[in-house]
Amino acid sequence: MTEPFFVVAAERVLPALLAGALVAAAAVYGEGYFDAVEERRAFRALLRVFFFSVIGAVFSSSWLVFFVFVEISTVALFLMIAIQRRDVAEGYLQIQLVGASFFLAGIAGASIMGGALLSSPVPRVLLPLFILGLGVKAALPGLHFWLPEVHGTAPAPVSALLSGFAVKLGVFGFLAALPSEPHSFLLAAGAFMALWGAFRAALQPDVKRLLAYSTMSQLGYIVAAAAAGSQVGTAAAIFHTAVHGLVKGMLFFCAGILEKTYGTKKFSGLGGGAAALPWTFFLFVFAAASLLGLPGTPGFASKGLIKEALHGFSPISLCLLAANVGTAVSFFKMGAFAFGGVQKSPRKILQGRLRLMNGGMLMLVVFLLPLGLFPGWAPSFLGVEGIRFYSFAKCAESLSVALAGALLFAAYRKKPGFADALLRRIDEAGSCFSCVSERGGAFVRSVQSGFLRGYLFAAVATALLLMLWFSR
Amino acid sequence: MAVMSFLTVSLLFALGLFTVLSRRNVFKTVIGLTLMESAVLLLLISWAYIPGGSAPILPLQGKGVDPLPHAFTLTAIVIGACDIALAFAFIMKLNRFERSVNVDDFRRLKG
Amino acid sequence: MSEPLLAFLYFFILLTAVVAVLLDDLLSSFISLSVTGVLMATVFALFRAPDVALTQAIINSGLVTSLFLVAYSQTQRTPSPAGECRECPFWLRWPGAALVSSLFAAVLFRGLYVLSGDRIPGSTSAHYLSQTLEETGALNVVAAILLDYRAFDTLGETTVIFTAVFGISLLLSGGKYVHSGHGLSFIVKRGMALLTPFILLYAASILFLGHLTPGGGFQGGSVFATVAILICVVYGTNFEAARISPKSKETFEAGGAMLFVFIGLLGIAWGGGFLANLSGPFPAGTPGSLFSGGNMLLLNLAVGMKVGAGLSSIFYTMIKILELEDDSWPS
Repeated sequence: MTEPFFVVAAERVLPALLAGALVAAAAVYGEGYFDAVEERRAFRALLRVFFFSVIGAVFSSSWLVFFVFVEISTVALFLMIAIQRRDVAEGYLQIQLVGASFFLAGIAGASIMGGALLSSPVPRVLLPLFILGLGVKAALPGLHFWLPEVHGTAPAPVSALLSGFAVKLGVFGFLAALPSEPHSFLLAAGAFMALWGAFRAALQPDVKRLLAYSTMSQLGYIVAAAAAGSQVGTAAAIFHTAVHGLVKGMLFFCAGILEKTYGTKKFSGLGGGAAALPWTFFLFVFAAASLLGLPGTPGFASKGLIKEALHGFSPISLCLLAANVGTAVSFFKMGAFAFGGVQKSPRKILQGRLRLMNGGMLMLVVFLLPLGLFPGWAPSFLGVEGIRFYSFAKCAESLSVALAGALLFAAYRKKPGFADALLRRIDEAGSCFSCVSERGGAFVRSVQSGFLRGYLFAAVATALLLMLWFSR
Repeated sequence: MAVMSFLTVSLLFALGLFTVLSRRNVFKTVIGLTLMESAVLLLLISWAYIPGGSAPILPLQGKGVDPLPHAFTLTAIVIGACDIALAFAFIMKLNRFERSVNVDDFRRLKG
Repeated sequence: MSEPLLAFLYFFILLTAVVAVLLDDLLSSFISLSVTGVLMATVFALFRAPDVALTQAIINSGLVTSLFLVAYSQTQRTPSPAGECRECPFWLRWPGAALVSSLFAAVLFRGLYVLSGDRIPGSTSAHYLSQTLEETGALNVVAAILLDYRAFDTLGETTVIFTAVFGISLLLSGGKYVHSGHGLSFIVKRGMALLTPFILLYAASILFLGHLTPGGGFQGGSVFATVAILICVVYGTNFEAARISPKSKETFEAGGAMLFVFIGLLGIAWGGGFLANLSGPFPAGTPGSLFSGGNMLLLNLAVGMKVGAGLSSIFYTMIKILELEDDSWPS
């Protein structure tokens, strides 16, 4: 290989900084979150592996290098989820491996046809393979069925890493694979994801699943911006990746604190957090405001940039606006149920652990504040100049969206689980293919005899056949 | 002469392979492993021989044989002994679990 | 070297190998394997490879057989059912294995046949044969290759030995160790007492003169290990452990490795590079004397310490289980 393995460019540095911030915050948070010493130790070690692999993926120069590092990060995440939930981790690994095989097939095709570097777009005919493979990672609709389960049941810092960074690797791949023209399928997919995720989030009875669906919704924003094809779109996608990663990290940390304090993730068991966890509440308000896109927060800047990028696609913009309303509903719900209302009985967490967990959230705020106070910095770092972020129309738009969300929530707050069962069935329709892989695995297991001699025989016979084949 | 050596090497290796594949006693597997390693050693030394050459100790009487494969073979012998020792240790340990030396009884890693 | 002699030796190598494979009695098959090893050492000597012949005879014929005897005595063998195994798939029975192996032999021979022809040593070997005396000061070209030109590979090889020792002591750890005071009969003990100094002298001469005559650290160290094994067998492990405790064996082994690395670092400190010989601080000396060859004497010592201590501690670890109570084995 004459090309260097790694390439440093502006649009890769920002995700790398995001990864660094998330990993550092997760390290601090994890010290307070995990109960057992072995869990903490395992988490620390795997965090380092994850960080190394993710940096390698972000700075890679060719698809194959990217693939290798992404798979290493998948394995690290699998092991991290398995610290507490082995079954969920195995499901996650299986899905990701299926997607990875499609991805690898696409890469193989690209290497044969030329264009194996990350810097040049992929040959047209291979694009569906790439979309399929990366779509599993980025939770495109139809391939998204694993996201609520995995992100909703993994340990909180791991969910933060998953939602904050791992799914973004798929989008990163999209950005590299797509040619610089609008891709209608992905635009539609992004809009659909945004709407579906936002409204499903509002209907969840469980804090972490709400956040997981919200991740899907924000991913829709990012995918739509990436599919717009222009440089503004790319910059918007990366900017929102960074902002959303940090914010979602904070929110998952917050959910973890709630889980540790009240012993449950369900909204029925939470309440009165504002009094019991004042610091957490304050940080939550900041994070939620940022996700809603209220003026002055980094979310406002990134969503503004996305709207700039999708300027010419009004139906998509309208969908995103509606999705914003749904997001508002879900976060008002989270705030009201978890932090307001009647005080449910909180457990006593050691003050030191709580401080560590809040400290993790605070670290992310430190990174978020400059992005919000200087909205023009990130886009100009990525090469896009001259965006006016603050105008009366834009501020009014974002505030009215938030207001609409609050009103909707107040109207429907009595029926939190409305239509959730039906929609859940639709969501999980895609997971039936896991029973196919189960069947296949059972078949392979039955072929294995367990005889060492049998395996050796098969190996030698295969080697001989290959030898005879190649020497004809 | 070289052909004769190569013939012996191939037969010895095949003998070792046959042992590993068809004998059930795990000690026979170790014997097969040893035979395969011996075949390779014989190949290296027979290939290093130059007709009419003398041993590679200075001062040479005439030409010397090729000394580089000798060095490789030395290393290979020592490493072979080490891996056979480790194989014996494995056999002893497995024997405690299964109480047998039948290689077909060691199937705990199935599936 | 005559071809009929070689053919004769090859025939007997194959014959003893076949015997080793086909016999049911394990003891006889391993003795037959040991005979194969000795015959191969003879062939190596005929092929003008004295170092290799020495190593093969000591390690493959001697040490491996004694390790087998220990393993054999430690295993409980249920008598294996006669005939083929009933539940094996059909291809695993001996016709299938024979077919695959003969096919393998045919392919291998066909590939090797191309190599027969006039042997011309490569340029590296020619360089080694002609320049060894000036560049290393040693007389044994193979020792010079192992300890000067490719000394780094030898460092790797000692690491392999360490890994084997480590793995074996890990596998066979746990359980109580009961010293045995028995040994063999009085005559054997007296005979051994007379013989041991000479064996040790022999081992030392192989080790220290390795840069001048065939031999070196590996061969010498193995003979030292053989002496330890002999003492274990003849006098009982109690005696042997008192003379050379397991702790000191570990120290020797580690000391050998550290000496090797230290010599290498001296080369760096002198500005010559890791394991530098004559371009480091080591004098070449007069060729043919004991103190010649630069650092090869010390490296031989280091390797010998490593190999000797390693192999004897392998034996000691495997023996240790011999005297355990059966129910104190951790399962």
